[in-house]
Amino acid sequence: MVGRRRARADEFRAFYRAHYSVILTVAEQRLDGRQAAEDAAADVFQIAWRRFSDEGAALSLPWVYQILRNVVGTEYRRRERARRALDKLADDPADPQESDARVDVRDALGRLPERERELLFMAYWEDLTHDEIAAILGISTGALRVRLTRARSRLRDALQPATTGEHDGRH
Amino acid sequence: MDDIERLIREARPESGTRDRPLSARAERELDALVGKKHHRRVAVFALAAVVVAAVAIGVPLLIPEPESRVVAGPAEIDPSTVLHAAAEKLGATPSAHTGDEAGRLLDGQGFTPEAQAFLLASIERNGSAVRAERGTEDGYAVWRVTLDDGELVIRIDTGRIVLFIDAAGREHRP
Repeated sequence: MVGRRRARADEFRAFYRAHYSVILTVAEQRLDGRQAAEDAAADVFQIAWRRFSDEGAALSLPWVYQILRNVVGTEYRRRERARRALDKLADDPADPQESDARVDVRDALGRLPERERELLFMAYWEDLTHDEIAAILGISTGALRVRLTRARSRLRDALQPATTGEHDGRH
Repeated sequence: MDDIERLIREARPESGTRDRPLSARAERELDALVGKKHHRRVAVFALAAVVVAAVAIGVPLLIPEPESRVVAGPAEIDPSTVLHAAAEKLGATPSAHTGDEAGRLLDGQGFTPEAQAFLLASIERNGSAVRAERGTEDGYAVWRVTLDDGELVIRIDTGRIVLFIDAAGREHRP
């Protein structure tokens, strides 16, 4: 009994060490600051440990990713201090550290449908591999590539009007 | 990498990356989390017993300050501990039941202490409680338990639910 409990603890430790940093990275992308992200990651793994040890839940990245989404969602509702990185950046477009191109891209991302925006975040901001994203979304990697291609295309289109508008404005 | 992918990556907000080593805080939290598990059930029952005893003899000061949750802020406690203790006080039994109790809470129908206890035990089991913090409500010491889709306010002395705030911010009082 004790041996089995120790084995379960070791399994969780290995899972934690393998996935803590990516969960923290995702949290950093979605919350306003390192402290909030570390708090969220702590909540995620506390919930994961409880469900793993009490209910026999299977450890997997898609599972903890979903827990993180719930934690972040709760955080948004509970505290107005936490905002999406995109919203935060949109509120402060005059940041001298930001190039015009970065601001344009973030604005364009904000105009995409949520599903495509989330996909681009996952693929390019949250450090997730294609295999991991496919597992989280419950789709094949082939289907993921198709969706990513479509999302990039939508972003390209979303970036067009600004360019066209500037061009038109000169006439 | 095409031009759009490059633009998105360049627009990424500053943050660490997944290949960074675990911080000292993360290591401490892991040790605390896995290490304390062996004693968790004992702690839950001990806390519940202390709270019940303190209320029974009318000495609220005997109710201990919540032990600091190592993996969260110092004013917080494991929400499952709060739910478990409250459900115990209300007389919950671990029998199977569904989320119908939540509906009754919102409808204000038949929300007996037993139904509350069932609801609390259900929430504890499905793991939707994210956080618990001390607070006050109508002059009573309460636990504010944040759920995936709302917030429960539970009186510490009786274990009764006094308020439910749904995801839209609407308040429901049984």
